Amino acid sequence: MSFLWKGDKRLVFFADVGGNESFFIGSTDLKGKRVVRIVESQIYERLNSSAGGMVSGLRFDEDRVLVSGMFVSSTRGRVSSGSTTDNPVVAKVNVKNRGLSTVYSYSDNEIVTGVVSDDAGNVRFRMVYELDGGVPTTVWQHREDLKNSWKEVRRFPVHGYREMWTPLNFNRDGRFMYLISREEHDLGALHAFDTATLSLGPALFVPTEGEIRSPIMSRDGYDLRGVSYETDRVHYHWFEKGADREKLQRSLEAAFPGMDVQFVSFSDNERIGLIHIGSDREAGVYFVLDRDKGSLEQFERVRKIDPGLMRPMEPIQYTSRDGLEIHGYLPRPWSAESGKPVPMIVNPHGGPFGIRDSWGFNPEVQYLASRGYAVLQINYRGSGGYGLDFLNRGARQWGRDMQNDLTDGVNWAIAEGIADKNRVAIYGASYGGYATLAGLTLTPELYACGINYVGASDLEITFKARGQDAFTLANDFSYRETWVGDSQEYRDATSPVNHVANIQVPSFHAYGVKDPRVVIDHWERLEPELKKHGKVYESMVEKRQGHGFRDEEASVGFYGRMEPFLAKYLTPEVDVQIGSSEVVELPAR
Amino acid sequence: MFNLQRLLVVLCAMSAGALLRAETNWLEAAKAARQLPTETFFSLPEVRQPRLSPDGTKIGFLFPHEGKMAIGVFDRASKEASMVV
Repeated sequence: MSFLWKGDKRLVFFADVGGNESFFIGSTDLKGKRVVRIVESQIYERLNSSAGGMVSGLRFDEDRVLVSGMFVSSTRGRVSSGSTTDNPVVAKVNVKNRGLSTVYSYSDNEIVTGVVSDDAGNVRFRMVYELDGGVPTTVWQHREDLKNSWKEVRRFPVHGYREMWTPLNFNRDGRFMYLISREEHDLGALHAFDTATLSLGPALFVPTEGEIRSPIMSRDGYDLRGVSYETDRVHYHWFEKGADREKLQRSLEAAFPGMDVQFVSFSDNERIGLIHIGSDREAGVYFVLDRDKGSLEQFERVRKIDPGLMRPMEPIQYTSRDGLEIHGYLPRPWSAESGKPVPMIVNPHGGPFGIRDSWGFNPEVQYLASRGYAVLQINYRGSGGYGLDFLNRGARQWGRDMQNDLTDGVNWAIAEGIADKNRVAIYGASYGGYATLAGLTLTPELYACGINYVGASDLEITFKARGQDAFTLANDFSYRETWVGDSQEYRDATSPVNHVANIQVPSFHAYGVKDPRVVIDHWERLEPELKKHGKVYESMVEKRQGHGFRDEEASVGFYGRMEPFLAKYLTPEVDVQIGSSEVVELPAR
Repeated sequence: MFNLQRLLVVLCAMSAGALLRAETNWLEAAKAARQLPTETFFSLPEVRQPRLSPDGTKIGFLFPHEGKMAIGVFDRASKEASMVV
């Protein structure tokens, strides 16, 4: 569920239908009485980056939004996305009466993977997919307006996770488009592209460490004021030194030392601001800043958890066996204050590609720390945030180099005296679930137990699957060939389901039957193997949940199962109570 | 720039816990943390994605309702919140 304001009296919202990532876009007045379903999609498999989504909120248009999809007029006048016969279009849709005006039509002759529109709803750029000498290629094309034809601007090989260009905003007169380019800098750089001369200007900002997160624009979206980028923490770079926006940021950061200060929203006149103040230990408080009144008032707190009981997310780094610098975080439980090694859970993030763990309040991490465990979060190779080269090094390294980075991290934490080598567990979701299974089957000596949450067990299934976020084109095999790995021998060797016999310790598995990403087949392949080899395991299969349990009851239920499982197989320090042992009578010799 | 007194009150409320813990034994903190119910961490958040209306008079936001997130709107002048959908 998410929403945006359409004027001051209406909201446009996006709602997930049935947990399988189908969605509909609706609009409503503020009383919820005049709800209009604008676009719906029931067919997740058919959606790709070009079809089924919001292209632009058209912030200066009172009534319309720009939506991409396959629209079919039904008898009730409803438009829906997901027809098998029509070509998708980009259309302005009136949020009050569903009135539709097409601004761009996709055709059968070309595969368009994305469009960029300006605030007036003019589609000014499009990305066309081509096989160029057998290489999947993105061709960037520009047109000045509807009267002109498309002109090729650049062509780049398809990457899949970090395309060579990431389009951002147009400037005020619409001549320049800000974008992130990775042509010259591995970490990416901010540039302005001149649509009059079709040339890329010099880099406006190049991070020395970490990747750009987002530009900081004026409320109307036209003036570039700064840019945020992320290393272990989020930082800001300002283009006009000492300007108002920078001063505002700095004074709030000074008022809330050590915390992240993020402006999430401004009124059109930029006099009212909504600010999120949070940290690794504070789930976040939203404040309303009223610059005319000179007041800062609390709106709402995200969670009522005492930050004084939470644990700091300490940034760490270590060197992998092949000399790569690996970054991560290592929050430790209170019992670490004793100076003794503690039980530790290595918690690889999902993805795996282009995703990273970041500093900030993470309920899962703090929950595990509160239960007495250190949590090792590793941005293993393949993760985002460390440049293209680091990301590319993860390709076709499932169960290999990406897994070795986790193993090296665990051994590092043991050598540092942080983790107790006999009490290390592995737990992760999605790719993290795969990494858990790979850990239990390929490096079984390392772990005392493992928790696999919606994880891939069989790379054969992953290899054949469509619907993988960036790779939904029927004829594009980049995902399987470039990222999973196309050698049968490799997939056999790195699919955990083939190596269940190696598992030495208890495991817990949780899956959602409606999961469109890691389909339930992964569990249906895995469970018979666990049974066949007589392994100790627990499982939780939720009929109405998808890729991660979103409903409160199922989610709380999952962690409620996790706690006793870990307490049983990864005894936390605090449970050991002196004087509670029983006297055992030994038989006389 | 803004009301410092109000800011200080808010700050005190946010850091009281941290100050308290610094003076106590870590074993007590460990015990208190361990006793936090699972729901405290994983219940739906009180608020998500709040956004100001363009005129700044209202805040739209998501809040938990019957186990899922619903949309609400808060009127800054009247300080009243109501459910939208």
